[in-house]
Amino acid sequence: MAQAKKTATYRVVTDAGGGRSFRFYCDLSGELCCVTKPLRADTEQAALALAWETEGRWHFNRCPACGRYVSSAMFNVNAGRCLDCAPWESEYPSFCHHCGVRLREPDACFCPVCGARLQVGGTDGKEEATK
Amino acid sequence: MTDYDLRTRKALRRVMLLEYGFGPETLQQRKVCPACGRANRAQDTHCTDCGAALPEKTLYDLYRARHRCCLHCGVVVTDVAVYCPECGTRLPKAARRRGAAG
Repeated sequence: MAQAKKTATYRVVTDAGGGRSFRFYCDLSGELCCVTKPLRADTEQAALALAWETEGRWHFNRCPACGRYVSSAMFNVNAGRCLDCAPWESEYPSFCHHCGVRLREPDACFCPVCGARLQVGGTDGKEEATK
Repeated sequence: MTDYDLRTRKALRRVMLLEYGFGPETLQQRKVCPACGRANRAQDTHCTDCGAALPEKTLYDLYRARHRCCLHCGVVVTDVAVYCPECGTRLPKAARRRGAAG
């Protein structure tokens, strides 16, 4: 099993005074999500750990399926996974994805005909709607 | 000033996703600079930060290229879908993909 990633993809920029600032990027899209302020530490690993804990990690969503750190844009908040592991599904589908019947109830969680769950990845927020 | 229509639950949800930077619409409105990684608007041709030329494709195009899409309406569908949830078109069988959501 591959070792879980500890931080998002990053680059180090060292300034003239010896301070290190880190640029953290989304693991899926390559989007720059965080530039930390210059930090001083004995080693680069120590500076990285500090930069990640104090600043970097708060700008990312960690996918529990693949362990990647991704930006909000590349994260399916309904499924709690990155878009590679769980693509967005229509929250208000017009048709059942399993049997193809046209749906009359826009907030339904299950198909009234075949009983299929209409969002396989997640139904965040919809349980409330059906109560 | 925004011209959000908040009259329906669906519209409210759409605005919420946009405001917090989630969802397909956010992807459609964003391009990433290949040189510095800065996020730019979809209509930009050059990076507002470093001036590098931006690709034609948005994050949504990148996202679509990595997933199965409906051949009729183009929406991304899951590997288990038999019919498109948007237009109801029957989909061709999904090719086996590594690490599909369980």
